[in-house]
Amino acid sequence: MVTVELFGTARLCSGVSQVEVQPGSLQEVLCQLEHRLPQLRGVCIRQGKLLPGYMVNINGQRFTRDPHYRVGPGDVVLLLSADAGGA
Amino acid sequence: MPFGYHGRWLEVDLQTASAQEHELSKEVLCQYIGGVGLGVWLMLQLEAWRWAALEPEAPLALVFSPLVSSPLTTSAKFAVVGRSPLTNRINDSLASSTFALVGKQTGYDALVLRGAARELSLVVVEPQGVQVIPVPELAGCSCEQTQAEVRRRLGPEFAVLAVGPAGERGIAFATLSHQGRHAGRGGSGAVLGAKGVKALAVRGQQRVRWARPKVLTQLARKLAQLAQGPQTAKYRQLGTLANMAVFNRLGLLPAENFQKGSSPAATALSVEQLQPQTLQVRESCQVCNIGCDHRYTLQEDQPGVRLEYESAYALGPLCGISDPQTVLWAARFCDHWGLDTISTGATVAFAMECVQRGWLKEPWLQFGRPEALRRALELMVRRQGVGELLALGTRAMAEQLGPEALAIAPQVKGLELPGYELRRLPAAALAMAVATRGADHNRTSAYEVDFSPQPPENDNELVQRLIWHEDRAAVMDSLILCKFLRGVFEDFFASASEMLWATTGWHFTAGGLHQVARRIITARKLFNILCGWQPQEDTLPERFFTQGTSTAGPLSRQRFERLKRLYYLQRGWTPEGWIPWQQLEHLGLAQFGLLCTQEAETSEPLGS
Repeated sequence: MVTVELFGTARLCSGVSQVEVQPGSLQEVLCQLEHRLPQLRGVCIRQGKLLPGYMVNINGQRFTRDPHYRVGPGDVVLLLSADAGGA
Repeated sequence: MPFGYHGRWLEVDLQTASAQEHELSKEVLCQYIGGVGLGVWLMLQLEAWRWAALEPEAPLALVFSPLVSSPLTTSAKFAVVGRSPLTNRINDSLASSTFALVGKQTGYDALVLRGAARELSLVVVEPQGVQVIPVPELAGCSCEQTQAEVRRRLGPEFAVLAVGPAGERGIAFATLSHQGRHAGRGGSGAVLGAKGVKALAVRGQQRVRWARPKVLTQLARKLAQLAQGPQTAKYRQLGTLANMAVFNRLGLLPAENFQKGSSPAATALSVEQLQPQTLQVRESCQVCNIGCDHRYTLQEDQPGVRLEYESAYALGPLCGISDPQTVLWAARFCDHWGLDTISTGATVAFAMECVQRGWLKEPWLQFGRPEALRRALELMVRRQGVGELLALGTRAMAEQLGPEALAIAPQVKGLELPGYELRRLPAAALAMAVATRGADHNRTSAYEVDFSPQPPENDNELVQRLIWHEDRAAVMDSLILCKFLRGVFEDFFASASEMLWATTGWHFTAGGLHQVARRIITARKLFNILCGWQPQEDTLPERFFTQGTSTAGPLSRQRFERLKRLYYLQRGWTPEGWIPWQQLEHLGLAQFGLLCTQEAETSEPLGS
């Protein structure tokens, strides 16, 4: 399984902090997430793709928006705002 | 008068209560634009390196910009530029809102204060003249009380910039405050306080002309739409506090004076936890449609408290504090007294570790104790007991405690570190080490390189991208536009050129604006060299190279030094960070460099 952790707007609008989904490409992972939490549709995801302003981090290491990125069993995907810093 | 500008600045002598106008040439304005750029030019022109920050003759500039009073969203900003009492180097900080609009309407592009008033005074600047009015009765008033009282006396058409009691008492990281926003970093409040100025009130009706008003209106409309788009959603919906849970999860949240990279305190202080429970209201600065200002309830019957990520990090996890009410109380305390929240929290956290290590005999000052934070802040602003030490900031405090303390003092050049675990962020670490005003996330946003989905392929590219971010920040801070807009532009330098063309009529290419940025950054560096900068200043606290946390190993000193050398070389400086003569000449800075060598009685190239 893949664990998706939600932060910020994603967590506030869905009321959920963590979801388990099947491994696959990032787009497939996000499609499952969108299906499970339709409140996220149009907010941070649409048809399995990240909307501008959002990105994911894989296992606390790599940031990506690549829909083809392979997310494997045991991976942890953090869904967060792309603009990570303050100003 | 050039479009977008008044073409002059005002020098106010506080000792004689007199003022003198100076012309600003088109050449200078083209070269430095406004804001922090024009500010550093003024500091060089006024030879401000000759005086320590708190000496009466040290100039302090309030600088407007060509975009101020335009309809471009987030443009109601001004820069405060001078020498920092924390770093003894250049300091520039920004604040927003009505003071920028009304200040520019006085008919000047910059107001420079020199000298010192004989007693605590209010300075009034209007087109018809300057007054210095003794106000000893305002001693000890908070920032908000002072602004309210001055406007009650003078009239609601005045905009007021004030120091709180922290500035009056010379606390090295005191702020200047206006409408609840602060020119916060580097201690400008202490500089104004040392001049005996409690507040500066401005009034005016002088407007500038725009070169292309219709184009400007179109650009403003487009920018306002972009500012409502997904790239600013985080700031609108959550505010910067959104970083708290994310940084904690990624091991990037400094805790207990940088001994740890995550903290259990983050959960209670996260926006995900706080917003549903205590968000009271969301507000905007003047001429801004983003509205990032989220206020949280401390007491039901009182206005909400602004809480940014940096404030929450420094007053919370850095001190081991997880109680939201204590952090909100401390944030309000800093607003009220006029204290920079980052430096305040970092100084207390540093003292807590010094107690932990037995270097400071204040057993009550322990990590994680809300009452310790409250007591430390009260003592700090009263400069009583250990508060006298805390009021100095971390570097000066460490210098009194010994070299071991200096190794763990969370500062660069004397300015306290913002909330990024730099041992995991090589670009941000380098940017903060070389930043001219000290540990500084706002003059580069180089962490974006570290957080990028397309990481740099090699160190050369990392440095190249860091420099691009630094250049962008220099232009944004000179235009001035809020950095929260930085993600909305497809091509920032092209958009900035359009804005400058619409306001001033000047044609800048993207390359031309990079050149302006290089000039501004090199001018700051030159100012620091004139103040006595040495290469060993461009570093990080020693502990970052020798100690890891549970989330990060220590930084490789070898790689850090290699990155720094690459940075200097890509900036066109020597491998040690000095500025070659030919670059000073190329950037039009040779006249100031010449002063440096004359001072040093040498004919050698600057610093080489």
